[in-house]
Amino acid sequence: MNQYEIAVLYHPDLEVDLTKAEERVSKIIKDNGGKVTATDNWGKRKLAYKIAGNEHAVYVFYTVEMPGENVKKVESTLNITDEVIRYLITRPDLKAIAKAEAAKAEKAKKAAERGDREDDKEEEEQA
Amino acid sequence: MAKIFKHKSEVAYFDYKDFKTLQRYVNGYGQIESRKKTGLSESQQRHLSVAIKRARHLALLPFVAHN
Repeated sequence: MNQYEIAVLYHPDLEVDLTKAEERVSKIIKDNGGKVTATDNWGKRKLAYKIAGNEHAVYVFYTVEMPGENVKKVESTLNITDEVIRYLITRPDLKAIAKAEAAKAEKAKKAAERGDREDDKEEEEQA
Repeated sequence: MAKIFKHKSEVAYFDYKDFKTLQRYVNGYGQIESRKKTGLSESQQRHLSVAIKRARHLALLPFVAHN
């Protein structure tokens, strides 16, 4: 089992009622032994260029635990799913993400120790 | 040539979803800036270009801008 990130662009007309399309995609994932651990819905966005005549699309990102040998099957099924106008399956580099986050946290800690103005402002707002 | 970041970038990871950050590394035509200009290390530049290409596939960034 590996962790994958599946980005799906739905047809803009589905924005009103996305549940059916989402169910269909999650069924495809489930049928291939995957488990959705997190979803991130960006809503309807303007595309940088037209895709199949569409100027907009609904962006949804799924974090999925899935056996590697089934990725190709998911891809081929998504290819023939009409609701999906584009998708991307990636394996996030977990080590690099953890490293980047650690560096970020350390930076924030150092900034707090120095007593940066920005932090002071935030504290004032909270108070 | 003016570098985008004068000091070594501390970005350890480029996320294709974070297109706002990636946008700083493309020029007005949507082309990826060279290492001379970005000031990134070899591996960082490689990760950057992969992230930009993924963002382009999802139409978060244009292949060609101002056309």
